[in-house]
Amino acid sequence: MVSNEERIRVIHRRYSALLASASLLLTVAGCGLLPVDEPANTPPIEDSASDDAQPGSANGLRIARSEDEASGQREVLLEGGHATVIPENLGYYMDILTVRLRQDLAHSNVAVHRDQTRVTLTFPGAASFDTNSAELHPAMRAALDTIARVLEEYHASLITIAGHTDNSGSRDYNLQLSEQRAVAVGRHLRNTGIATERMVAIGFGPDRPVAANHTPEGQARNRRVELMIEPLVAT
Amino acid sequence: MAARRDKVLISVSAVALLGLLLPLVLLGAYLWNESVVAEEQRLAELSKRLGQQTEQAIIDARELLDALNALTLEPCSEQHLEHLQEAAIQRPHIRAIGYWRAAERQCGAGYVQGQALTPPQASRIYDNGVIAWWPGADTAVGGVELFLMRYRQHDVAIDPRMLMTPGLLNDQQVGLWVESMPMAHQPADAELPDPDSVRVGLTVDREQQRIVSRFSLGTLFPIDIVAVQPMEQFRERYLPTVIGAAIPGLVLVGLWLWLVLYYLRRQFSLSTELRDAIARGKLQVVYQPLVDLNTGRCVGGEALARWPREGNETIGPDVFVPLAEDTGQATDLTLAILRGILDDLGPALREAPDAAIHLNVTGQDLASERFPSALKQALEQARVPAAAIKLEITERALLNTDDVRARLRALRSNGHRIAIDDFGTGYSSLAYLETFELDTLKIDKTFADAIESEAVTSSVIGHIIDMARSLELDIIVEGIESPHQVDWLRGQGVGFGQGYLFSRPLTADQYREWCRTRNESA
Repeated sequence: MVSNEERIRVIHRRYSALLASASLLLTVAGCGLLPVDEPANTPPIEDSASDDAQPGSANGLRIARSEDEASGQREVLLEGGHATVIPENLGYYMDILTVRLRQDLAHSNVAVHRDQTRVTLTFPGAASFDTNSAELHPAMRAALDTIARVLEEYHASLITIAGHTDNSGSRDYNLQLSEQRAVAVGRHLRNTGIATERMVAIGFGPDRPVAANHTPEGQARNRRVELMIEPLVAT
Repeated sequence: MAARRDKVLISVSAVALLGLLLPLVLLGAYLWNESVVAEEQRLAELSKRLGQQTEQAIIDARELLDALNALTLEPCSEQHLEHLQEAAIQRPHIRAIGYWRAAERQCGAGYVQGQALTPPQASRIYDNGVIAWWPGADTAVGGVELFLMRYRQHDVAIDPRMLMTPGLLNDQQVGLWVESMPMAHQPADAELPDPDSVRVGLTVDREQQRIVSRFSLGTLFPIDIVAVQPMEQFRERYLPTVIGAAIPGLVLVGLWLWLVLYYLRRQFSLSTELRDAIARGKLQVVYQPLVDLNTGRCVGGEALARWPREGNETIGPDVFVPLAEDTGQATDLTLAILRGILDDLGPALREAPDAAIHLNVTGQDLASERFPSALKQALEQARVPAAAIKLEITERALLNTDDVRARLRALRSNGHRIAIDDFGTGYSSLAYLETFELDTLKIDKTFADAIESEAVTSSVIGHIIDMARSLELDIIVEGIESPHQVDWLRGQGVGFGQGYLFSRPLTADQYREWCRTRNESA
């Protein structure tokens, strides 16, 4: 384990321009958020954090077990005085955010889907992770860097990172794998400068398929990571 | 006489009026059509310019946004704001330019500090990342609905009223649609029909007394321009043109009237001249011999009038006979010819009344009270028996009235014989002819021609001959030109003929000589 001070020093070195958000990270780091479980009990899964050279850096990223729990983070942000979107601007905000993401991700394999209250970015599993691995592919890192730049501007938003698997293998294992993948994404975004309190990671395992699992194509579609970006509307 | 003249004048006036109205109506229709075409072209041209202007403004805004996003100046620095200011000033239609972070306008040019438009629903999102909001309640600033375009960090607000450049179509109600959504219209209270409800081009809406036009451009964005103007205004615009074109038209009409009047005067002066010629006995009479087809002997002649005019062209009977009829001189003409006959051939006819001279009698002669008595008096004076003057009446003059029947009967009882002229050209039936007392049928030249050409109608002449024979009438065939016709007619039992084969019309002396020679050799 590396101390918080050390971690901040590393971030300073790497992202001196993002000092402000990094110190924000510091202030919320120990404020009763659930600590991230260390991925120690399942040998086949490679720890995606290893390449960060900061094994304990997942600390501070909230991991939710359900969607309700994830949306609880909204309240945390609102109560904490996080920037918000006024209700009259919500439509405008959603329009420009969607267009910006679509344009910036036009040459990636990330799908952008907009609905009434949020924009969902879907990373296809095969292009993002190796089988049984939570390590990000370079292409995915590049896409996340792009997204981070947009999220920095559109900072009045909550980001829910959801990992999904197909139904092969044990459910427990899949739940764990999907969670670790979501955490890996969150960790990368955090390292790019996105405040951890804006993010919640969830591992859904095989529970939320978007396609039937009886074909290889369907299984491939089910293996994915989703970023759900939800504007924080002032109440 | 006066009635006749009135009739002529009425007809002439009617023709003149028709000549006046027809060109005016045609001219009016033509000028109206020309005006509509001209207006259509004018509106098409103006609409095209308006549309191109709008298209240009949109393309320019897009390029401006691109350039602003590419700036490396520090956002909201003095230089950055100056740049925005400059760009806005250069474009009269741009109301404001803004620099944004997400949904927060950071700074910009145009609006007062703190003003920003964040409409809840984009009108169009383009694949290139441009978002556009069409003018509407959500884009109104100070009562003006603006057209917004945003691309990444910058947006521009365009005042659509400025796209309708003052001067272009400013005299009518105009609406501009881009991608089928209303972009601008003028004046502010204009109520324009939707482009989809209007035919492309110019439509004359008579019901609402207005002219509606729609033109469309489809180069980058579909652009529609609808313009409405009251018919009154349209008329005013083209009135000078119409007047300009109407003057030559009126000149033409005047020319036409002059021609009609000139013709009228000529007719009247010709009729005066004819009256004079009749009164002074200037008409010549010529005689075309009639020949017995079996013996070849001269059995008489048809008297024909000639009108030699001093220093003028000779006018044929085809002109002066109808003229005499139209001007009430028909009977005078007939009697003048009769006088000519009696002067030329009086003694000969007294000696040999069988070689009768045929005198053409008109329908008017038959209708007049004067003709029979004048005829009788002239013959008595010349001591020529009535049998020597055979009266020829055209089939068409043989009216189906008791008057005509009675008059013919009276003439016949005086000793005249009656021949039907140009027989076959009317539609008299056998039963009809039977109701008149007649002596001779003269079969029209057209039937003689048919014999020569051996055409189908030669069978018609057979029927006519049969008809004449059943009425126990003599037959004379006119216009005989070949011996073949003579042979054929003789075979059919036709007794007499007349035509160039025997002789053309001759003067009285020539005629007497011709008959003498002919009868001696026969």
